[in-house]
Amino acid sequence: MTAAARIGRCVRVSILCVQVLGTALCLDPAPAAAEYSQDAVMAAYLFRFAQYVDWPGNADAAKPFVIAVVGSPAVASELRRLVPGHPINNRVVEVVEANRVTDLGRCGMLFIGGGYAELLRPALAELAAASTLVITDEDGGLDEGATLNFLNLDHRVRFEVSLTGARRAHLKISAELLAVAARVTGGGRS
Amino acid sequence: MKLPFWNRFAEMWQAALTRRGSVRARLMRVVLVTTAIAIGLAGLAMLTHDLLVYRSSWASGLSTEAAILALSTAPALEFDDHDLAQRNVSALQERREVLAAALYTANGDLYASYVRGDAQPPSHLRNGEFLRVHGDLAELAQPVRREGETLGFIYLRAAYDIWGRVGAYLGIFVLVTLPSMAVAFLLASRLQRRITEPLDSVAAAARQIVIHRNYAVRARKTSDDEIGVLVDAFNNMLEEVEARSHELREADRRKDEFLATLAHELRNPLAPIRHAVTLLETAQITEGQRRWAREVISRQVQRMALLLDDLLDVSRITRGRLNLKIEAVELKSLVRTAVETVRPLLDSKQHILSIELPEESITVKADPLRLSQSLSNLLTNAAKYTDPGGRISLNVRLLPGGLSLSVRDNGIGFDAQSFAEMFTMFAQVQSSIDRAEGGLGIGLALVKGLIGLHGGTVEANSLGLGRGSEFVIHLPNSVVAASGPAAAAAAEPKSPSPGGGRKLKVVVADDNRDAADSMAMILRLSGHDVWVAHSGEEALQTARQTSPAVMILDIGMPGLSGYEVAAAVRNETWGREILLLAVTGWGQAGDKDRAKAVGFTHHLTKPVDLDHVEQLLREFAAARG
Repeated sequence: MTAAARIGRCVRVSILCVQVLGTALCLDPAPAAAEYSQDAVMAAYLFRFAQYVDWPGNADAAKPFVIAVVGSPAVASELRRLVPGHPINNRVVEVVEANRVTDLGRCGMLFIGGGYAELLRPALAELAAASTLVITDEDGGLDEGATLNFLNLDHRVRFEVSLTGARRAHLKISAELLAVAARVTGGGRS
Repeated sequence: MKLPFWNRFAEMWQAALTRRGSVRARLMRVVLVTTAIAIGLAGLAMLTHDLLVYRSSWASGLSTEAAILALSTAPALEFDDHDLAQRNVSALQERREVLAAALYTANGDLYASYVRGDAQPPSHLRNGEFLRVHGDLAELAQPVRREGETLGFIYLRAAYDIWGRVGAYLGIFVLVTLPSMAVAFLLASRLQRRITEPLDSVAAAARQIVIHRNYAVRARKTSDDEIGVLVDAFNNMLEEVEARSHELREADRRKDEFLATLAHELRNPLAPIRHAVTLLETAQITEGQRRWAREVISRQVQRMALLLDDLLDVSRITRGRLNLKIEAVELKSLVRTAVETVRPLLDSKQHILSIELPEESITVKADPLRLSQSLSNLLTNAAKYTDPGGRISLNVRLLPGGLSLSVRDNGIGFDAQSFAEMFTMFAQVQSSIDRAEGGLGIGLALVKGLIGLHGGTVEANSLGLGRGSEFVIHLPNSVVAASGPAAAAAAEPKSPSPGGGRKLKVVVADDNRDAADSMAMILRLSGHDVWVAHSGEEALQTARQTSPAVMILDIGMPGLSGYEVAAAVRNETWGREILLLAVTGWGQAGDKDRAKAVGFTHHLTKPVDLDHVEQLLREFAAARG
């Protein structure tokens, strides 16, 4: 075996190692949902939603991207676990747990956990014209004014999209995300 | 449909295949084979290039396909949308060459797949990025990434339809080759006509020559290129061959003539020699007859010797073997020698020779023998080719450019045509054969050669046939050694012939030819003009024509006898005073008386004593003045 071939094999082995390592280190993919709790899946999805949504204006990159979580400490803790290595729009992510619906103007994303639907209306009032992606985990969340809402279909975490909510918050949602959504309301699709 | 074209094509193709045939077929073969090879190589190169390009473009097309699929499938993997993933993968069924498409998770597990036929994608994908081509199958794997995160892998398997491509190419190749070959054939057949037609013309001429030996044919020149040069060279060669063969025939003809003349010339002296020998063998020969016979033999032998010497000299000159013996010699004595050599001939034809020499004495550095030989040759020629009683003049002049010796006569001359070959060997003025003098026809060639050896030239002039001729020897100044006032007596202009007083016209008549001829020959050798007759009537007729001074008549001739002839002659005005000699074999007294009675001056008995006859002639001439 020549030196060149030996080096080549080393390189190939290294590449394989990096790939395997990379796969292991990166976000656990959703298809392996069975191994993960629903909260963990939802937390991962929250990060992924950010990739398909455009926030208006030029955000200050120095300021952290704030994700506010209401009524779900489990999701909040999952989110905190994912923060390192997962910036959103090149901004460091800061996870805030809030029990009161005040001072939400600076969040980019607001997640309202299951059973806290009644907080949605005051929150929307509070947010008013602010561009905040509001996500609920409640049947009929979209009707209450949320933009995204988690569903549980066949024991899998799915979601639905309200284009009405997105328009109100001046958010652009990628067609790719719409393609993956279980349901899209407020637009051409029903 | 043009049948001739196809016939021609078939014929050429046949010739091309059998490696035989004309230049045309070979040219055509070269053109067609070259064209076929060129098209074949070009086609092969293009096919190779196209297959390489096709492969890479096909591969890049496939990976583009995979990249698009990866982009559209990323969200499905991200959000675990199996239905969407399945739909995206199945969209590839529009591409017929895609046999299988599959989507794998980041772990390498099969997530969604589409299969055409029985090709199954691997259930697990270990290495997520490759392109493999084996035979006509290609496999490709590509990762699905988003924001630097590998979400899974795309796998495609497709049929790489290389043989279809090659087949299509072969079809195109055939479609291109057939018209190309046809066009090449047409162009080449038109082009080669320009090359082969002149060649055909040359070949046809060559064939004509080989078969018919006809050197007058010429190839036709149609162009100025190499073939034109070839045609020119060919025609020039033919001209050369024609000219040479003509020269050869001419030389051959002259040689034949020469041989005939030579035989004749060698034969001539033999008759008098034989007569003389016969005479010598006779028992009752007198001393005078014996001397005469010796002299005849001696003269004739000398004549033959001169002839043979000339012949040998010419051949020596031709072979460059003749060496001159140069010495200082007085020109006058040299001229005298030459004149003396020719004197008997001049006298026998009763020519009048006038000689003009410069006052001063001239010494030349030359071979005296050869120079006088040249001069005497010219004089001999002049004498030969001039009718009896002609005028011949020899002029020697010292000019600024050298010495000139001119021999002029008022003889038969020559025309421009003879002039060209006059100096060549064996050439003779045609009519000379009829003349008594004959000759070998080597005289002028010999003169030219000898004078050439002295550094001089020979010039010939004539105003035309029957208007005389002039031959001039030019010798350069280097030959003239010295010239000064004549110490010796001034040139003695020799008056017509020294034997002029003795020269007589004689008619000899005898029915015995040998007797008459040998008598006539001997008399001629003595410088007389002799006519021979073999009967009485002939003798009388000849005499009336020539008005002779002497007649020697045999008495016993058929028809008119010697007596009757003599009587008739005495009745003619010209015949009263002539010398009439009777020759009889009987010698009776009565005969003598009868001879006297009819007018004979003398009566002689056979065998005739020639010295006696000469004696009588001398006396007669002297008495006549």
